[in-house]
Amino acid sequence: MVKSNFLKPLIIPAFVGLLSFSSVCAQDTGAGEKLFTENCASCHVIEGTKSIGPNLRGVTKKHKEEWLLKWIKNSQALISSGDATAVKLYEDNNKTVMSNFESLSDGEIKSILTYVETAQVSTVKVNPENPEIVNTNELTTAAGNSGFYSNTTLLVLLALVVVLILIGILLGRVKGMMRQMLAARFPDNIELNKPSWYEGKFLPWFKNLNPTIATLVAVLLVAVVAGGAYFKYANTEIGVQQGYAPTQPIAFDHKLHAGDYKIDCQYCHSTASFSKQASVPAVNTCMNCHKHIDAKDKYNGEVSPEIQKIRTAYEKNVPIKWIRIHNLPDLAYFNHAQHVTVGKVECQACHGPVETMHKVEQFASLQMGWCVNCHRQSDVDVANNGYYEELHKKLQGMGRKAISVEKNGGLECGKCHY
Amino acid sequence: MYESPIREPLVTGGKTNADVTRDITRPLENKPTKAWWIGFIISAFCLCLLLWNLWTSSTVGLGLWGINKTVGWAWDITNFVFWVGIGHAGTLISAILLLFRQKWRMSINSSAEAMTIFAVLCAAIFPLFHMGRVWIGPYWALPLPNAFGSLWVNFNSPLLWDVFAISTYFSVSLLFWYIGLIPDIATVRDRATTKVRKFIYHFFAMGWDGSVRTWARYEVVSLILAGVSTPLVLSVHTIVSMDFATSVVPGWHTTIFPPYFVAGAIFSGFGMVLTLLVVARKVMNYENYITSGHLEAMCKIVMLTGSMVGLAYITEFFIAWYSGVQYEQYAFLNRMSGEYWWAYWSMMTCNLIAPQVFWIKWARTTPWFIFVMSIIVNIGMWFERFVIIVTSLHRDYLTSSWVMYYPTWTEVGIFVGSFGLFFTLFFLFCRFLPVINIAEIKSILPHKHDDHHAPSEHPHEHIAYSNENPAPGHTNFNNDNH
Amino acid sequence: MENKTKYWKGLEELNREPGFVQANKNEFAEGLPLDEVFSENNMSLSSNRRDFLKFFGFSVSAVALAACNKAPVKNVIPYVVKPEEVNPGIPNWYASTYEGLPVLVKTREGRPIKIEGNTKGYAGGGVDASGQASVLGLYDSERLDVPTKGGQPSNWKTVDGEIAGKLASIAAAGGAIRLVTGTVNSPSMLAAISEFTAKYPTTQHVTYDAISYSGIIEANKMCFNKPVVPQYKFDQAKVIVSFGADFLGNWISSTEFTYQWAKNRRLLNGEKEISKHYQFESLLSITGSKADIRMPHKPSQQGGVVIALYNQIAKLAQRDAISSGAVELGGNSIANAAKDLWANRGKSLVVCGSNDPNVQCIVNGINELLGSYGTTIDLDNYSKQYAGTDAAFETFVNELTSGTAKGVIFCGVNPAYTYHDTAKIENGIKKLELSVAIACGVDETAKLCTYVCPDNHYLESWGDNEVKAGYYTFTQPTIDRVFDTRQSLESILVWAGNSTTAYDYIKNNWQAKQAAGFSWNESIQNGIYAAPAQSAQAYLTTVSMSQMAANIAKPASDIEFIAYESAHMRDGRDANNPWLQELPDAISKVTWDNYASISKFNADKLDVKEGDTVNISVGNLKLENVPVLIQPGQARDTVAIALGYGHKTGGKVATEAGGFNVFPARSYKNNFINNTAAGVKIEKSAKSYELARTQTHHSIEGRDLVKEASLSAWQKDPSANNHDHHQLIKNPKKNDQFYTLWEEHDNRGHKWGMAIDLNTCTGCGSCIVSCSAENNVPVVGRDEVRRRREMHWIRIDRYYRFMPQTPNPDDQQAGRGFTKAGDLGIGETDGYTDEEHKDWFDHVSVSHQPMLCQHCGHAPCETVCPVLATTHSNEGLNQMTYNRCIGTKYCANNCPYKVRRFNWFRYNDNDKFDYYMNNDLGKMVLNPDVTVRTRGVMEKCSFCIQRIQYGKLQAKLQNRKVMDGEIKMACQQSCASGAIVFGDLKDPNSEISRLYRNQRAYHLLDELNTQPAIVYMTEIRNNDYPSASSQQDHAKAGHEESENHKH
Repeated sequence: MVKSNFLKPLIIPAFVGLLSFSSVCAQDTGAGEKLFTENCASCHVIEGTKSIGPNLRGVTKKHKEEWLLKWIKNSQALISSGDATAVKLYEDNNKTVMSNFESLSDGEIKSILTYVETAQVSTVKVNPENPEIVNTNELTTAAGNSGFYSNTTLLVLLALVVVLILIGILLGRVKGMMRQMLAARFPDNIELNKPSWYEGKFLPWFKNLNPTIATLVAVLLVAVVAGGAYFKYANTEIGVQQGYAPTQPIAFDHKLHAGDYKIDCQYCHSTASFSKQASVPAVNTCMNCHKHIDAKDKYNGEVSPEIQKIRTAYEKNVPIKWIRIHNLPDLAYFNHAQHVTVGKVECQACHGPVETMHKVEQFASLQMGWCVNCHRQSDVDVANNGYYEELHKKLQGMGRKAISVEKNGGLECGKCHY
Repeated sequence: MYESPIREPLVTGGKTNADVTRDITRPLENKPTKAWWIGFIISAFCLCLLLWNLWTSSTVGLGLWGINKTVGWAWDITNFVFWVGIGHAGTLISAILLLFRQKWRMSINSSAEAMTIFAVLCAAIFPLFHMGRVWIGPYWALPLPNAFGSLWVNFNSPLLWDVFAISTYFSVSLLFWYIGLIPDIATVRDRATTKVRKFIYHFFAMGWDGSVRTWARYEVVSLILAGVSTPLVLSVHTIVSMDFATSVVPGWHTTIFPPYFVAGAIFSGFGMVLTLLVVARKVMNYENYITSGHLEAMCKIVMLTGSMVGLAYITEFFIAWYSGVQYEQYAFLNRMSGEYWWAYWSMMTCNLIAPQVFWIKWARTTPWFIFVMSIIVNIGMWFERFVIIVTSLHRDYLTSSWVMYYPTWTEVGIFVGSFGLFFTLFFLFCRFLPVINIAEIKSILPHKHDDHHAPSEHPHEHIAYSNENPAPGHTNFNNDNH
Repeated sequence: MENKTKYWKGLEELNREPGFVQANKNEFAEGLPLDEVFSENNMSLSSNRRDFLKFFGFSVSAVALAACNKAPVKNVIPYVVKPEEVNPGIPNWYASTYEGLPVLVKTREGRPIKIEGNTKGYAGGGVDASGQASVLGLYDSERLDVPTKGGQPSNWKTVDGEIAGKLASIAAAGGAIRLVTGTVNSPSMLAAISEFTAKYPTTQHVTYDAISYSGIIEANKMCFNKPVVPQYKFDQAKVIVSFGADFLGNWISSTEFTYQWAKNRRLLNGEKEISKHYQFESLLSITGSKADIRMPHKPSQQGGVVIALYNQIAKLAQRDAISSGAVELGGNSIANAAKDLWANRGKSLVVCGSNDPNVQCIVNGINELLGSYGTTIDLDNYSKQYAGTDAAFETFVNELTSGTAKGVIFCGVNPAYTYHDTAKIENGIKKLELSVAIACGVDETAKLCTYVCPDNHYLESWGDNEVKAGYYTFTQPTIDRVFDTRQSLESILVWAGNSTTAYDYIKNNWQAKQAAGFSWNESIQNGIYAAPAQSAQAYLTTVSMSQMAANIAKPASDIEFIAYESAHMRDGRDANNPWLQELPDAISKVTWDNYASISKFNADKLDVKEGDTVNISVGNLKLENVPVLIQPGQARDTVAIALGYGHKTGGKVATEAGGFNVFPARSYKNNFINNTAAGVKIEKSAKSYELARTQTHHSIEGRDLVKEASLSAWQKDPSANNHDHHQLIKNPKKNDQFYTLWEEHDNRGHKWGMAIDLNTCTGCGSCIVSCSAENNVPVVGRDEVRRRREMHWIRIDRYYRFMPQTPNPDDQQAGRGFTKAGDLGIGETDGYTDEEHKDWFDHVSVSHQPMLCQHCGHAPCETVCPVLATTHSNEGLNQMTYNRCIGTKYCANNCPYKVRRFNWFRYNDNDKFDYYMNNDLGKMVLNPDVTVRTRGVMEKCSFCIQRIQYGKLQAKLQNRKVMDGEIKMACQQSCASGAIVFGDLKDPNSEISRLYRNQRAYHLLDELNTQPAIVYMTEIRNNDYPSASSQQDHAKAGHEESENHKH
């Protein structure tokens, strides 16, 4: 299986990330740091081994601030405008395009820069044979071939059971016959002629049963069993597939990226904050890092096969067919922006502890009941959003702090179904 | 003792208990007659028609029906109300007449109740299949806990009330009918010869042994059930009428509906009972059990209820005029003189005018004539529902949305098919269960010799030994005293 | 809103690569393996198609239909290199141009899915039905996907080679080459054509408008030596007189005119006056339906009527009148019109739909007397929308038949269908050495041509139009080409030996132009560039009116035929568009057909009823079994049939719609094509035919559904005919007669409401198409419409009333129509067969009432649903939950407004409904934010809840309140006259709250206490006439009027 220990090669270059990240995360969180981790950290470290982009320590001394602002906002423009420093920088970093950050305000960028300068980095040594990561391989392999608990095994077992029962019945019959023969042979043997449990006990009891009641009871039992079975079946039919963890075309490890390297979810799932869909990252997003991180040393010189897949996809211009795990039926409208940005819901609230999952699985049932429950329990953040101004006043008037999503109409059909 | 020199006996032809049993169980034990076969095959064919059309309309879509954006209900609900109405006579006869100790009901209640059950079954088809998504409708219309953050049903909706009303009605009637049949089933069981018959009747007889205990229970249960189902006679059609009365549609939105619908229901119910019995008594020569006395009594009821319905029709018009609401007024003028005038006038003739002939004794006592009349009544009542539903809907508030409704073959098929279902069941009933309640009928046999013990006090003895013993009353009585 | 109104002009903005084209390529170039995605739909993918289809990568599930269907594995296919501005789930807006009208194109995941008006444009953000429907043309699976030669698929290389070769040889031999196009107002296209002509000197460019404005152009040439269509300014006119010009329907630039006209009709912003509008016409047009005073007359009388008006005006202006030929109409109407016009000199406008230069000259004369030139008519910044003259094309046809023309290129025109003598065209084309058609689909002409070069849909093309002198609009592609097509501009260039792409060519053109204050990026981004306008001059004419009058044909006495342009089918170019076919005609409410529209008078004479058919013969055109439609208000002794139907080829829908092609009924005489013809034979035929109408009952039965009042009444009392109703709206729970069983809804946050102004609604129906596009409303086809099962969420009820001039003054005062008005519907009784009422049918007033879910506060539908599938939101919406619905239809029965629609079939995958929803390409147009409803559930207007949610979300994301007018309904957005206003009633300063407070506001059927969220504004008609004069005059007028009809 290709997946087997594909992660090892990642470890060495992983230091880079770990060094910077772990240290950074040790800091007390400030706006600059947050922004840094979200936007820059995937390509830049502050000091230490060079990542994709140049190390940032002392960058403000190297360049003027307004130049930096220009560059960060739209490096390509600067390059094409023929700015010498820009072009040089471009060349030096073997023509890696730095993505544009027009979204960042000057203030934000400045805060990043100040952070970059102030943050002191403590180097952390990471054990290459990180057990965590080694486990990964086993896990992924395990999940790869559908292990012992598969339908086939189940069927085999069932067949076995049936066979056994048949044998049991057969033996019973044989015994009975023997017994009769014996009885015939020795008529005066009380032992033998004593009526069997069946004849002596069962039959009379059965005969005395009220036929109607008996039949009804029997029917009822069957009905219950059948009903239960159907319910189970129907449940899967309507797409309740909690724990669904398909094997992806590329064994992407969320634990490694989101967990160990603490890459912000929205670095890859970039549209979650403002769009309906969270969107699966385009290959070029992956290439931002994997242009350089190839884990060669773990594959004695070879590029990690999984990373290679990405690169091929990029070169061949063929997208990767990821398998969608969280499938809402089309009748339900869900908007990430509403929940991520407005509702300030953690990704984990619905997707579970992805940062600990080597292989992502559906965490929640995604049933309506589940959604509704959350809407019942959670409150609307009326205080910090201009949209809710009126409502906020009203509530204060009523001397109330918060209002639950439910009370604010969050349980209305039209909120999700249209 | 239900006998007096001035009142003519309820069972004629000087039947003995033995005769009764023999007569009534004959059709069950002999080979079915040619007449039965013909009838059965025809109705079975219609039943297939029903199944096919239901299949297509639930797989292809309700577009196969003639309904449209304005007329959302038409034949489907018309038939539903029609059938539910028919059901009523059964309950009325078995429940109310029982409470009033109307002995004459005894020879017809069993078949009337059977009719009720079958009618309600037919009725149930329509509300089910008029749903766009019949495959989930019945499930969602019930107040069941669920995984949708618990979605609940709308208790304001008359349709939901219907669900409860109809299901209650059906189960109670079924119970009532079945309980009433147990002693007779036992009789049949005892007389049964083949193994299969024995087993089946054995099953349905619930281990009845004709003992005093069983009889005592039997009497009590019948009374309780009668008590329970009496309100149903009124409630069911009242609630059905609310499907319309609670709406805002001019011509539906009126408070007279409940009494008016109940009266109509009883009216149509007796119509159907007559239709069935007039034939049945001839074919199975039960003339002596279902005497012209019975027919006459029922005719009187038909006439009465018919007039009540007629009164309701006229009142509606008065109210419409009196209300001064132009939409209301137009709705009724439109009924009378609009595109569907023919439906309205056939309703009027069949329901109000026609039954008046029953003032004449000849009309009440001539079976063939009664039969014709009963058919007319049924037609009239079907049209009543059609008029109420379609003519009110097809021209309501916004004239821009006024439309015409024309039925399609699918709808016709389903309607005819429902009759198929009804008669198939009824034929099977005649074949496999006693059409007349043997046990009860025996209690109202006229007795040659005067008798200080009214057998009716211990009707059970007749059953227990009916086969062996022509006049078991005494012996049993003596036995009891030992 | 930020996000919504952000118009992209493509990638250049992002400074990725220098050239836009490169970027443009990039935008569309990343590959998705759609073969896999579509394998289950077993779609064969031509390479170009893949380029496009790959595009909707992420939204596979969004397009997936039928709620509750569970695919075992769903694949998520991201872009390889995501174009910066394409974000899954976020719509992008591009400015573009539809037939010269500036529009915005909404794209989702790169699929154009909706057309909206560009509020910066000259038509104020409105789009007509055809514009709304145009997006569907892009996904028409019957479009030509490769160039063909002799009907056989070929490729561009060969086709180009051969065409260029042939052209060269013909030119060398001095053979005439003709390039036939519609009106070309694109500077770049003109440049290209001149390049073409330079290469092939024998080329002439022939401009052919199937329905031309020859008359006006010629007339202006004669009078002012300006052969152009002037720019009319209806918003400047206090008095408008139109002689059969359907300027609210489809005359020249109807969307623009509607926008202008509405400005003077509103009475909602403190105005005291509305414009007064006289209409003299033969058939009841949309414009006629909105006129204050309308007089029917036979088409051949038109000249006479115009002369009559001229004389009246001349009298007032002390000029000498035209001696002969005047035709007076009843009701003293012409005199009144003259009085009103004269009283408002310089603020009045007279327009005429005639194609006869002579008539137009006299109209010019009138306008000149009234001093309209320079005020309401602008000849300097003239319109360039139509330039074709009938004479020019006629000469071409002669060349064609005579064989002098050797090579012809038909570009976007279909003369083989639209020319009156198609035989000439057919034979002519056969004679040609080279015949090329540049067309989107295989129409009648393309069928005849050797080479057919598929043109791009405009959503795939670059372009620029000079709609009016100095006013430019720009077209940019919103998607890569779906098929292997090439836009006409490029084709012409290629044959002219110039290989530059359309983009470069146009851009270079403009850069060369150096227009004042022009910026390419800005212009593309806004879709508009307007050079500073010149000041409009007054003009004087020297032509002798009497002489003109002399040339006008004398009125005919017998039955006359009118081939008219129906508002949305026009010349039949959109006949293959199911949305337009199913859009009911604004007046007759007929879908999927054209029909012989005749007056009640003639119907009785012929003894035909609706549902009967007639045989008609016009000249040598014989029409068999034409379904009859009895049209109140139509002039007696006229038969009118709409153009644009009866296609022999040109697509499944077009042929399915069928109908009768009446172009052959037109005739060419003294330099213009006449749309009317005299000497018509018409007799009843045995056959009967049921027209598919969405409304079959036309009388309002005296019900108080449409409230109207005359202007004078309204001026006296602003809540005329609306007192109590207005009270109710002011506070519905004022008095105890409004107690209710249900607890009131507590509206937290918002309370959405809508106001519909009956004054400005013209019934044009663009809202209907807009709604269908926005909400994935299925097309059901003719038969289902006949069964009264159209699915439109919004419809426009049209009611006839008899004009107040018929004896019933009280009703006029009350603004109410006749209470016993007869029904004109199929199988319905007709109360007015007796003599004295005959003429009532010649004078009807029409009311249009848009009808959609009223979102009642006390909704009858909500209480009766057994499963709570339809519920009330705390924002005042009546929500319909499809996936909960079990389809009992009780809600529909109990809806007094009858706005609920049941899904009778599974329209999206039932072959019976093969319109657009059930083929994979057609599905691309579906709005991913709206569920496609499945069989057996109820549906209805949702107040575009997806737009509301989107608007709210944007506000939340931007940490602000929702701005008034930020959220627009689909119907509202497309309405050119701005008749629909939507907003939050909780916000006391919102437009909607203001309208709720207006005294004209009323709830429909408020006696039911349904407390709708929609208010209608009473219709105010400026029909006391003459405006100045008194009741006596009126009585007199009425008298004369009836006199007039005795004989």
